Amino acid sequence: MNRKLILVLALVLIIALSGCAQLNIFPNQETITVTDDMGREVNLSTTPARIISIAPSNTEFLFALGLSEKIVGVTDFCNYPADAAAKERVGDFANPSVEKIIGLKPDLVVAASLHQEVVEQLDQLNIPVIVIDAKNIQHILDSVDMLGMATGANEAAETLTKQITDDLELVDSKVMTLSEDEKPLVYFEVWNDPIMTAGPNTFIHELITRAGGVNIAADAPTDYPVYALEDLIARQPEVMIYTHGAETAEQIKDRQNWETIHALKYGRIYLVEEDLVLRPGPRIAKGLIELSKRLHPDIWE
Amino acid sequence: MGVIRQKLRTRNWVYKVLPLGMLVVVILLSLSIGAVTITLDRFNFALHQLLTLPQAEWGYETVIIWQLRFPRTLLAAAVGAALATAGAVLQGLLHNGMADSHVLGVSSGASLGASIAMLLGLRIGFLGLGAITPMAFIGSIVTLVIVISISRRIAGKSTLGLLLAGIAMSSFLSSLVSLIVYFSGERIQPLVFWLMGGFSARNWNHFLAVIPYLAGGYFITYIYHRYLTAISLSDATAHNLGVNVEKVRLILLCCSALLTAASVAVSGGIGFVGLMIPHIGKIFVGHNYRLLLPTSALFGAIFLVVADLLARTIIRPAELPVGIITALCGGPFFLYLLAKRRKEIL
Repeated sequence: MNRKLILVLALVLIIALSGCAQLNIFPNQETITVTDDMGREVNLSTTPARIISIAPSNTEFLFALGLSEKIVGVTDFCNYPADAAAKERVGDFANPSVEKIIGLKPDLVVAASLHQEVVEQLDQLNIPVIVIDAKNIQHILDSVDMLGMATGANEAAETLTKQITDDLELVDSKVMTLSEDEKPLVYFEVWNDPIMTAGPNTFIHELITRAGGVNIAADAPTDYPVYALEDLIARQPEVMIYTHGAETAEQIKDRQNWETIHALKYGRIYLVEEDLVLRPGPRIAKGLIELSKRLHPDIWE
Repeated sequence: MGVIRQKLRTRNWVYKVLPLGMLVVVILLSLSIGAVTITLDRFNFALHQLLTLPQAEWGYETVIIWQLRFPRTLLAAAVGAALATAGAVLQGLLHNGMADSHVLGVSSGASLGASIAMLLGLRIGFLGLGAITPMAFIGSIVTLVIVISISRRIAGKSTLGLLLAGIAMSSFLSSLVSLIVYFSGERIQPLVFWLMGGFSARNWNHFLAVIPYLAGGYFITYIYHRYLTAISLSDATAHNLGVNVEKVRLILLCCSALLTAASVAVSGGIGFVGLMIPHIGKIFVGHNYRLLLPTSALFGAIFLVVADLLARTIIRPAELPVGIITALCGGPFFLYLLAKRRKEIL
């Protein structure tokens, strides 16, 4: 008798509770679904409060969106902004430690496309991950949007997008005044041994073009080709941009057999800060302005 | 008897002159094809500038011909000849058709030297070569000394002992290189390209630095061609013919190591030439080293000049590492030969 009563009561309780859940007695925030750059659909049920970034560009995005309070982990490579140095480290960009990530109890991890394995592991552990892998400038603006949505920082995202767009338009308006003849042939040295430059499907190519230059490797077959010195000499680039810092401009000028190259002969060799132009983050428009100033000092006076 | 002799003599003549002519042709091709096609007019113009103007006033075409293509092409020819010669010598000395410079660990030693230079970011120049070339050279010579002394201590005079010691050393050193690759992070880039082998951006300094070793190694080897032929038949035959097998073997080993060391130091890991070319040589001239040495050297030179030409033109303006080309073309071609002409090769 007693036993039956308990059973009935238990059943009633279970049904009632499950009904409550359906009636949303514990109100959840609406679920947000974003599609990330790996094509994964990610459901985020709460506004994330503990975010980990495992790519330097993502760290820059998160800080630029005013989320510095919520960031609980970054990588060893995250050197900008300076506040990133105060955050917990989860390993380097290429090999973040999954154990460390889990230990920090994140409710959002922002990864890059090289993190495929890490993403799979985190997926299995039901830790929400979104992957950002911007391939061009428009893509960066889209990433800002997506990240704003995922983190509930929509307004900050709008402001940031506006800032970037304004800078881009500034460059566009200046470059528009140039004729095709005024656009110099640019050799962008990604690495010096072997000499490597950037092909047509790269960020660098887009930046050079948009900054008012012509990429010497626009016809290259791969993204980062080992470039033939012969072709470099034969094409006579007028400006050389480099980011690797392995040599000073003076040392580059002294390179053997390079002396006939226009850019070296006329001393148009410029070092541009690597992170501004190679990192697909929120500072990309600043990088573009920097680059355009090197190519066209006259229009930027 | 006289007729056979006459025939042999004609054959020798053909096999000496024909490859030499081919080598000249491919070198000329290599000089004229690339970013700028060099016609006879332009060549004359460049020659004129070379002879009359200081280098600072040269046009860029002149720089391309004299400072880039010439040293590069000659270097490819010299390295091709050296690797093929070293392969032919080792195959004879060790009575093993699978031998090439890898079996002595010499190539791996060079790789290790080069990777240490890159890991430490050594900036010390040597004869305008940078640190990599001398370090690779030192690495291979040290390896050779170790391999020979180990094999003597453990296995005495047996060639099998030498082979095994060399192969063990080779894989040990390769794993050290892998270890360095694993830890070298960003600096890995040049190392990866170096390991794939190539003549990208090589100049006269590289050519002049190694040509004494290559020429010296080759000529000393050639002096011993009779002994080499005898040893390649069998150690006992050579001994019965009065050859001091031990001494000759040591000298020739050192020569082939020298050839390999100098080659690998300037061109990185170019595989397949040393293994494949001597066998092709044997198809044409047989096992007499008096003919096999020059034939292998010429074939090796032709092969590598063509491979380098392909490496720098197939995906212009980018360059492929020549090691990829040699293995890509060499592998299937060699398998074909092996199937067709098994008797001459094996």
